[in-house]
Amino acid sequence: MAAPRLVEMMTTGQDDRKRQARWMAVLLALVAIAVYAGFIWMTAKGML
Amino acid sequence: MNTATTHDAHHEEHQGGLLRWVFTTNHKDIGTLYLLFALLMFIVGGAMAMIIRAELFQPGLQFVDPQFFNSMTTMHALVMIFGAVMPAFVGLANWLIPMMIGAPDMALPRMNNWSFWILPFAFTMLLSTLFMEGGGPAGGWTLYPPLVLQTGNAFPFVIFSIHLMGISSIMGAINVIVTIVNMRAPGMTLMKMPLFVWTWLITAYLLIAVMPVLAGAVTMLLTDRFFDTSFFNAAGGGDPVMFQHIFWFFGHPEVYILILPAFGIVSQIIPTFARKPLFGYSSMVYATASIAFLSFIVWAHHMFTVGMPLAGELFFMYATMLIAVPTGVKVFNWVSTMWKGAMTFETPMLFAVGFVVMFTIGGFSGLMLAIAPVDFQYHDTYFVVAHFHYVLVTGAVFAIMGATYYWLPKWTGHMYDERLGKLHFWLSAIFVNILFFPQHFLGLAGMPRRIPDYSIQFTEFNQISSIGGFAFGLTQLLFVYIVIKTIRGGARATDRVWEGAHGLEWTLPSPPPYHSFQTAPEIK
Repeated sequence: MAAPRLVEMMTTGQDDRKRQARWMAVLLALVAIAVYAGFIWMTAKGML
Repeated sequence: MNTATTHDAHHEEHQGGLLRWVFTTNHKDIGTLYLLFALLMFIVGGAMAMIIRAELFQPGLQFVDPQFFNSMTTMHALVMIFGAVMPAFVGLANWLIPMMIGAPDMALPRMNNWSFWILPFAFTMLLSTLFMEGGGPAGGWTLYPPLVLQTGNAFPFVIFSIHLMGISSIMGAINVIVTIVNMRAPGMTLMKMPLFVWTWLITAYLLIAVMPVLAGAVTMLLTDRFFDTSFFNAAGGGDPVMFQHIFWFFGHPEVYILILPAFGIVSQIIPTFARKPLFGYSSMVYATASIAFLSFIVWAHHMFTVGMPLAGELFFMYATMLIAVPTGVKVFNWVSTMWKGAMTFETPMLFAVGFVVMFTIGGFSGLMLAIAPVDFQYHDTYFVVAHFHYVLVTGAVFAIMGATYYWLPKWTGHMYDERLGKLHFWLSAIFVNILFFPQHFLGLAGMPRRIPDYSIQFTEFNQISSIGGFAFGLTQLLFVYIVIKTIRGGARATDRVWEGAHGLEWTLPSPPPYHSFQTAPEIK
């Protein structure tokens, strides 16, 4: 429960780093979704 | 009380009882949950293996009907891969990565809670399919169409549970990457990271790249079955072989997902008990990255027998053999680390040395399977079963057990019983070979895999294998006993635990505080 606060403490004065962590997570999730959709799309189009 | 102290007090608080585990965002709690879940699944999957070996003790049909036997081979694989080995590695990552890089916790603790708590639901659903009309999935863990499309009511539940496992793995992988990239203590450059952290970073990238591919493949199976698409249906213009390509584009990197963290573990254990720094640290990192890269361009070696152009066979054959190079670099480095070291053989070291020897046996039989013309004979025989069990049991599972003995004193603050630990190792090492080595001979003699009955000439080796299997299974109860005993008490462990241990996790008390590093340590 307390951990998110701790991360905040750990990164005090490093707001960029915290923002970077969230953006990275979102970006990696988007990559995963793109790979998923890409493979289905390529199979449907007969490209594979 | 000012705001700052309120915050500080808040940090050490956690709920008691069951709710602590349900709502926890703490990396150690979640690591423990993952490890206990993996142990439970190891027992469930092991029970299925016992059913398989009991049925195969004699030719003819003894205990179960063939449909159920096929369900057992399928579920044993799914449970062991997605329920035991992968969650065990994620549990180790949760416990160790923050402590090894000098962070207080994982970067995304709430997502961490989700990653874990999806799993019990996924596996309850998967296991419940055994009681559904038509039985559980029985087409093998590879889920090849059109066979898998004959699954009864269980089919959509299997697909959904695989989706859930995939989501859990992807979230776990995102967490690992973000933690390693963002939360390292000042001075902890990438090339100063412990090898376990490195191998997990690379594994996490593999997971993000391939789990969505599996999800895509099973989604297409689902629409083929229920929404009249023809992705893999030749009658509708699709191609069942296409599924095999997509599946193994996931499946081969998956094999490395199951072994790279084990490489990391062994690279932590051997230097400790050889009392020497790891030989060739940077070459270990580059070898891991090379193996990860190569894992994407070898998938069709699983399907030599479906027929492909000669150029394709040659490409996949040579690319596969290429993997022996970075893997050989690793084995060379482990041996060189031990060379002229002041070695002692506590239980973790026994498992690590056992890993090096027996994983290499699995590696060599893998090389044999890579040779396209001989694969035509080995394909779908017990030789393949022997090969991947050497890699996954004496490889991945031995590494996980070595890791448990190595870090358990750090986690619990108690030393395990060294005498029992050694007994566990030696019994495991003996019986695992009695279990799997004869399967090489069975395969070379032509016994097919995934079949409940066989010709009588295979009887003796099957009986030896089954006896080894039962004994190996019983031996693992000793492991459960040792772990429970250590959690409950025992001699106090020191902070460093092992004389030759180096790394940030050993600078913390045993057991470590609820939040690992409240202030970032300084790395020289």
